[in-house]
Parts: sequence; structure tokens; C-alpha cells
Amino acid sequence: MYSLTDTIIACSSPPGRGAISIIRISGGDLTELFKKIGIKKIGNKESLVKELQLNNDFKEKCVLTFFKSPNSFTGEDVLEINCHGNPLMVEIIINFFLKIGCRKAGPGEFTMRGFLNNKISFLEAEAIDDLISAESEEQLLASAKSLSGKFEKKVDEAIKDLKQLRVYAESNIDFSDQEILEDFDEFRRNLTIFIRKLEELISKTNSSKYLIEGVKVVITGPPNVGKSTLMNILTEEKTSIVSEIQGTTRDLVQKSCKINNINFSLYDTAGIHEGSSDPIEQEGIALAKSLLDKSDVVIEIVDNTSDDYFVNYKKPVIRVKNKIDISQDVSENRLNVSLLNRIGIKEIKDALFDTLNIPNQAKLISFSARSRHTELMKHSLNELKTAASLSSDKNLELIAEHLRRASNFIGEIKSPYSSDDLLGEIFSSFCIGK
Amino acid sequence: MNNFDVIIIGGGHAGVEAAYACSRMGKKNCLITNSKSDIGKMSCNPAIGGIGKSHLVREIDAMGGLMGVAADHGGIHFRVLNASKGAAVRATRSQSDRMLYANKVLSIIDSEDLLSVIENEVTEIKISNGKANGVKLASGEIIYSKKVVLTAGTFLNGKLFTGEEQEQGGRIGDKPSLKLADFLQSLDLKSGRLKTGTPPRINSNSVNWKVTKEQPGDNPRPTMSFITTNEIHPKQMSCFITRTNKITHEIIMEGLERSPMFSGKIEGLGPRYCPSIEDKIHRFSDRESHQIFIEPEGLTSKEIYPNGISTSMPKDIQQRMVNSIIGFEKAEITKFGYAVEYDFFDPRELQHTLETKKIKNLYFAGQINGTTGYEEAAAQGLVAGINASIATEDGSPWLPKREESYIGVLIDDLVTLGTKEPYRMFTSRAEYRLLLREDNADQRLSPLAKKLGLIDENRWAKFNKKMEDIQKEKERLRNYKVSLKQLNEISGKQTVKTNANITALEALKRPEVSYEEMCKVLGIEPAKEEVAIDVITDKKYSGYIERQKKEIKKIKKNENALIPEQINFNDIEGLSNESKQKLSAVSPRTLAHAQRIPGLTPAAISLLLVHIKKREHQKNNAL
Repeated sequence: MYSLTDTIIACSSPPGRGAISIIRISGGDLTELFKKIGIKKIGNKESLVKELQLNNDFKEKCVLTFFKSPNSFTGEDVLEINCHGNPLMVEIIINFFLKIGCRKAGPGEFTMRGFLNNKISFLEAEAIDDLISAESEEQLLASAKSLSGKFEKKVDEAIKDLKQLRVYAESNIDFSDQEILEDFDEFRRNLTIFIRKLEELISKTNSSKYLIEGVKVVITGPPNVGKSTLMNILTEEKTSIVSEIQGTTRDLVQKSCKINNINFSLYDTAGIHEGSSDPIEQEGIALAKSLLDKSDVVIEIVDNTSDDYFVNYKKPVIRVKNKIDISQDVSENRLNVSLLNRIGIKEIKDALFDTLNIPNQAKLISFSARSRHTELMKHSLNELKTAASLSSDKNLELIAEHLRRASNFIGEIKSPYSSDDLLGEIFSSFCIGK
Repeated sequence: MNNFDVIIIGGGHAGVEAAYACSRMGKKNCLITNSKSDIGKMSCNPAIGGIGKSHLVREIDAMGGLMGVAADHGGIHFRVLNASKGAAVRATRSQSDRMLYANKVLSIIDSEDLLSVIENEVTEIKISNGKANGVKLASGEIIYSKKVVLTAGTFLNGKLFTGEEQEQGGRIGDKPSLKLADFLQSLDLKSGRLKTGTPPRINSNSVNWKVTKEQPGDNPRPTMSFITTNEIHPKQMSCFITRTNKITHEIIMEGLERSPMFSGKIEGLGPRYCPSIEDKIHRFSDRESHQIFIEPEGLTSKEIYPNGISTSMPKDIQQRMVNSIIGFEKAEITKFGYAVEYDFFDPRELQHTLETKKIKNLYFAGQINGTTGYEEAAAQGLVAGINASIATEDGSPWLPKREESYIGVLIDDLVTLGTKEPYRMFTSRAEYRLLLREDNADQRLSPLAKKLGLIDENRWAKFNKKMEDIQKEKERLRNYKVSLKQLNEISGKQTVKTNANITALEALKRPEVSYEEMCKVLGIEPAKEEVAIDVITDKKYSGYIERQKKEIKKIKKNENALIPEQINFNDIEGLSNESKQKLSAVSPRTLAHAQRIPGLTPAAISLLLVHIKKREHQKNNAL
């Protein structure tokens, strides 16, 4: 286990060549370090150009900027070094500093120090990670909004609302022999309003979750109905083997595409049809089933020969009927398409956004949230719904119990301390040197 | 001279439970009080129990304590509060005849051979090498003991206020313990001031009862104790209700600046949930009226206790205010209301055993720890008495847990959170409320009480019989099948969808199924109330209880994550000074305990965790 206050170093700019690279040093007493590299005096937020003698053969002119504790991102003394954007150069500079008392930073260590020094909240720490790994402008925008506290504000609001509801329940239990001002019907109204509010927040965070983490789509259906064709159309590539022979897709084929700036991972699966005795195909079916569990949405395709095919997926599902070019028999409960003639493709794409409740313009997404947040809010929502189903104040102690649990779940978004392993896991998922 | 195992200072509700617990555990002990006739006295309103509090009484009773039994002997009015709600929050409340209650307490104390009562004033606690070993009396005499339990109530530097008048005292008519207070100040324990108040008492013959609203007790009458029956209850009386009005409020507003609360004479903070009438009117100025419960003081007493108008206003204002209330037009005040301000010690300087961290062998219990209420005091007396007794033989202490009892919640809250206002128990303080019920207090605690030698054979046999009856009733209900038609008949609805023929026991799980109705429809005799309630609640709550138990298990992990005793919180890298102070003040012994300290940020907890892990790591590497 590392020290929490020694001097750490890491490259903060992306690996690879560029105009400049940025190396950050944080923690400990930097005056000693300054002496070693020949800086006599440097003020807070002051920059200077310095030629560093890195080894016998090598000198590099760098721009050094100093951020004095606590006015830095980690809350510690921070030195930022700008050098030429060459990985080799970066390595040499880091090695130089390792020799004079720095230690290589572990994953997420800069962010962790910022968190531990109360410079950033836990939610902000997560948002910083999102900001850095953002791949699109929309992602960047959403995580910036989170960093500005938009999501945290929403969570705080929810905590506050929930507290009010709990106040009603608890006071009507503990002070029932006194005059209570609010009545049960009003409480139930407030509960319903809050449930709606939370649902809205969840659908917003859900869509932002898709923005950050992408959407996992499983394409399934009976054999030979056009699953691979759909995948190829969506990704505009020829990935899967398309043939007339049933069970052609033995291995799981995964391909990504971008629709309206959201990343979709498509999984073309062997149809989940029981009864195949081919062990290889059985294996494919098992794999498909485990994928289903992790997916966000399912596209089920059938054709004119398999109209009565129906599987309950326990996931949002888009049911499609292909090959309307062969048979005019349309199905009422399905999107009727002809993949061969490219009819109905837009409808399938739109259905993906509708089913998942994603605004079709990604810019509308208000902030970034992670599946951890969404999961906790969903747990909370379940508790609240159960509370709402207990329709009499005779069950007030049970209603109160559901509210307590609901508030625990929401609270966990801000301070995930139920398990110390979680903390380690979350921090180690951050990339180095931010 | 005299050698005792345990000395108990104070004969209030904490003191008597402590002494009685020591006696039951076979420890020679003595209770020192200023006046023997004041033992078991109710200084404030003559009631035992109430929401949250009755849970404590039941638990004290399950541990063999005396409060429940005395309340049944003195009880002249019994009601179950929250009766329409679920079992977890139902709470028994009793009005007591003050005399009968105190007499019963005294007779229990007197019948204990190992317990001596000494009438004297304690001026000093003898301490050598940081360990308490006896007390010094006003006479100069010193009594030695292995352990000392201090239960001084509101008597430490007690000051009484009525309007501009101010005198020293712990209770009206009683002298405060000034010398002891001075001595305790010299011990360098963190202390503060708290305040509480009491309403004027009124001559019952001067009340116009006809215009008040009668509130009779419940029928059938519940009991406070597990081992009594309601046949021992004395004659019963009703309570009555009246209200304040606009004129009352005007009179109070007029005199407000003469109230010591508002003139700044009282520094101590009073309880928010039990405010004085001037406080209520000042803070909730939009309310035009406040309820007053007129409680009888006893069968033979000519006084009534108007609950809801506690005040420290000047006497003339009190008189006018009282006379403005419906039914009190001609009321004669027998004792004026007053506020009492007293010293309390920061309970964060106590361990979960209630032994002080600074001075070994010295235990603090009751109101001096910042609590209010007879029940809260008694619960602490019990914990201190038991642990002092155990410690005389170096046994492993009783650390009551939050998931085990309200007593556990009380102790943990006190030593972890400390308190700024007088601490009162509420059910909402217990996160495992559905587990901690009045009806199962015996199941939660009696086996432990038996192990510690706190309960006699009679109680133990009674407990086992009850458990047996519960099992039998469950067995019986398992053998009855309930058809769909019957289910609908029981619930009075036609909407029940279920597989036909579930067992009667399973049927109880359904919220719409009442036990009584089911017995009627099935044509069977219902079981005894105390048995039935357990069977019903067990079923109705089963899903919830399972989840709470899981939650407890999860938290246990952190509860078992010990913080090494030798840790110096000031050594933790990166921790803010504020967090260091908070941690040092409480010295949590487990991570879960640290997490409950208010104001500690998640970041601080992480730093603590990292520090502990690092220590372990270094230790392992050294090996």
C-alpha cells in the first residue's frame, strides 16, 4: 500500500506523439525537489522555462508551472511540466524525477488524493474519469455538466425530498399521540410525485449512461431470418457470414456502430432455439443467453415462416418481422421490414432510441451518470413503489421501512461506503495521471 | 471501613436499577442517597412508557429490572399508543400513582439482602492511580468499593428558575449536590449545561371537569411487565384533555421577556420535542391552540399534572395563563412550574459499558449523561450496574447492540454522537425497528439475562412456557388449510387471488388477513394475546425481518473491522484537524462505529481505512 502524501509523478497527457506532453508531480514537500533541479523561487500559479539536465547526454527545455497547496487539483503542491510530445522524452523525464525522490503514481492516484483532501466529491471524481475518457463531444459535454455538479444537485434534491417523506412517516409514528399537521392522503400524493420525479431522473441518467457506456444490443430470433443481415446493415459492413443454411452463425459476432453519436455494440447470436443436438451450436446458444443478461435491449427478428416465435426476454425488446417482400402478411405487433430491400431500417433505429428512452439528439442529455448510479436509483424506486402500494396508514411502519431503504440506496450514490472494496475498485478504474 | 463490590450514588430511576442489577448478580452493593424517602420518586410527569420508551421498559423488564413491575403496581391508567399500527411501533403508556410507584420501588430495594441504602451526601469520589475505589461522604467518612456508579440526575449544580426567581436545587424542595459537582469539575471531564422544565400543578378540586374531554384507559388493560397480570393494577382513573387558546397565548407573549429562557438566564439547551409552552407559542406562532393532557397524580392525590404547559414564567403569569384555559378558570395552582438547569457530562467520554474512559471503575448512568426520561435513565442504570458487576470479576462485558435492543441504540447513540439537547428515545432512532418490538423484548434479551444470572427461575419458566406456546400455536395453524372462499370471507373482499388451500399460518402473511377473523371463519379458539401477537407479527414481518437480518450481517463486517486500540488518530496522514478531533473524542473501536460519527466525511473514513490497512500491512511485513 502506498503512502498518501509522498511525491508522485505521471504523464497526464495521452500516450503517443504530439506537440507537447504534460507531466504532473504532486504531493510532499516540493521545495526539496526544486532545490535539486535548481529552482530558487517559484510562486503559486507561476510558470517558468527551465532547461533540465536529464542525464549525461540529454537536456530538455521545459515549461514548469507550480500550484501551491491547497490551490491545486489534488489539494497538494503540484508541479506541471510541459515538454516535447515524445513518449521517449516523457519516459526520460519521469525516470529523472524518479531518481530524485518521486514515485510513479498508481491508477487513479491523483484523483484519489483530490478526493481524500476534500477537493472533489466522490461524484466529481467519477465525472473526471468520464471527462477524460469521453470519446465524443456529447460525452464531453455531459461529463462537464456532471463535474459542474448538475447531477450531484439532482441527487441532493432527491435526498432532500426523500427526507421530507421520511419526516412525515417517522413523525406520525413517534408523535402519533400529538397533533400532526399533514394527513396520510397528502403524504401519498407527495410520495407519488416523488416517484415520478425519480423515474424522470432515472430515464435521464439512463440515457446518459448509454452515452458514456454505450448500448448493448442482442439480435436474436429463429435461424435464418436475417439477423446477420440486420447487423451488417446497421454497421454497414459485411461481418457475418450470410447464407441460406440454418445455424450459420455459430460464434457470437460483435460489431459496433454509431447512431446519433451513441455507441451501439451489436451481438449477432445464434437463435435461442432449443433442441439442436449439435454441441457447437448448443454452446453458442448458452453464450447467447448469458449475453442477454448483460444486454440493454433485444431485437427479435422473425420471418413469414416463424410468425408465432415469441420469447420473453425480461429486457426491453423490439420485435421485427422480416421478409415482407416475400409475404405480404404483416404482423400487428411487430415492425414489418424487408432487410433485403432496405425497407424499415430507419424504423428499427428509431425504435432503439424510443425503447431505451434516449433523446434522439444526444446533446439533450443533461449529465453523465454511471450504471452504478442508475442501479442505485432503480433500487430506491422499487422501495418507493412498494411503499406506495401499502395503501393504509395501518402499515406506516412498513412504509417507513421502505423509505429508509430507499434513502439508503440514494445516499450510496454520494458515499459508497457499504464496502471498502468498491472504493478500491472504482479508483483503480481511473486512468493514470489526471 | 465498609467494603462493597459496587457503590451507587443516587436513588433515582438509574440508581435503583443499577443497585438492583448488582444485587441480582450477587454483588454486595450500597446505594447512597440524600434521602431514602425520595427513592423511586417521579420528578416530572407521573407516567411510564410511551412510544420508544415502553420498548426500553420492556427490555429492562426482560433483563429482570424493576421498572415494569413497579409501573404495573402503581399504574392507574393504561393505554396502547399506535394501536392501529403494526406491532413494532405499538407502545404501552401508563399513568402512575406517584406514591404507589415509589413504594413498590422501595419495597423491592429493601427486600434485597446484598443491597444497603445509606442516607448521606457524597462529596467526593475516591480515585487512586486513575482508578475509582470508593466515595467520601459529607461526614468525612470514606466507603471503599471495587466499582462506583454515579447517577446524580439533575442534582449537579442544579438551578431552578421561575420567572425572575432563581434558586439552587435539583428538584423543587431538594438541595443540589454542589460539592460533588465541584469535585467532578476537577476531574477534567467534558461537561455542559442542559435544561428541562415542569408545568404548574393544579388542585384537582378546582378544575371544572365537565368542560374537558375524558380519555379513559384501554380495555382490556395491557401490562408493562412480562411477568405481571393486569389483576395487580390498582383502581383505574381517566385522563382528560383541554386546550390553550388565544388569550392564553396573549398572556404568555406579554410575559415573555420575564421568562428566564428568553432573558438569557438559562444557558442550557432544552429538549426540542418537549418544549415549554412559551417556546411553543414563540416558535409556532401560527398555531392558535395547543393540546393539554390533564393527568392524575394518584388515587389519593389532590393534584393534577397538566401535560403540555411546562413553563418557567413568573408566578403571576402562570396563574393568569392557567386560568385562561377552559376548565381551569378557577384552577388553584399548588406548585408553580419551573425550569431546572443542570450539569451533564459528554457521554462520548464513556465506553459502551458506561465506564468512563478517563477513570477506570467509574460508571456514569442516567440524566448526567445528557438523557431525559425515567426509562432512558433506568436503562443506563441497568447497563452500568450489570457491567460494574461483571467487571468485579473481570468477565466479558455486556455491550448492548443496536440490532438487539433499544438499550443498545440508546448507549451507542450516546457514546458515539453525544448530545446537544436532552436525549429521548424514539422508535425512529432504531434502524432495526421491525425487529425490536415490545412483544419480543423477552425473546431478544431473556436468554442473555438468564446467562448473566439476572432473572429468577420463575421468570425463566414463564418465558419458556411462552416460547413453547408460540411453537404450539404455529404448529396448530400449520395444520389448518384455508380455502380461497374462506380467505375472501376473512378479508371481506372478493379480490384475493391465490392457490387454494394454503395453511392458516401462511395466510397470516397477507396484509388483509386478520388473525381474529381467521379464527372465527375457521371456527377455532384464538390463542392467548401474548402468544398470538408473536405468531402474527412473525409472519406479517417475515420478509422484512429477513432483509433486516441480511443488512445487519453486512454491517457486521464493518462492525468486525476493528480499529486497533493503540491507534493515534493524529497520526493519520492527510486527515483534517476537525476530523482528527472528532475521531479522538469518540475513539471508535470499529469502522462501523466510526462511520456513525456525525460530520465525518467519506474522505475521512477512507483515510482512516487506508491508515488501518497500512498498519496491518506493515505489521505483516515485519513478521
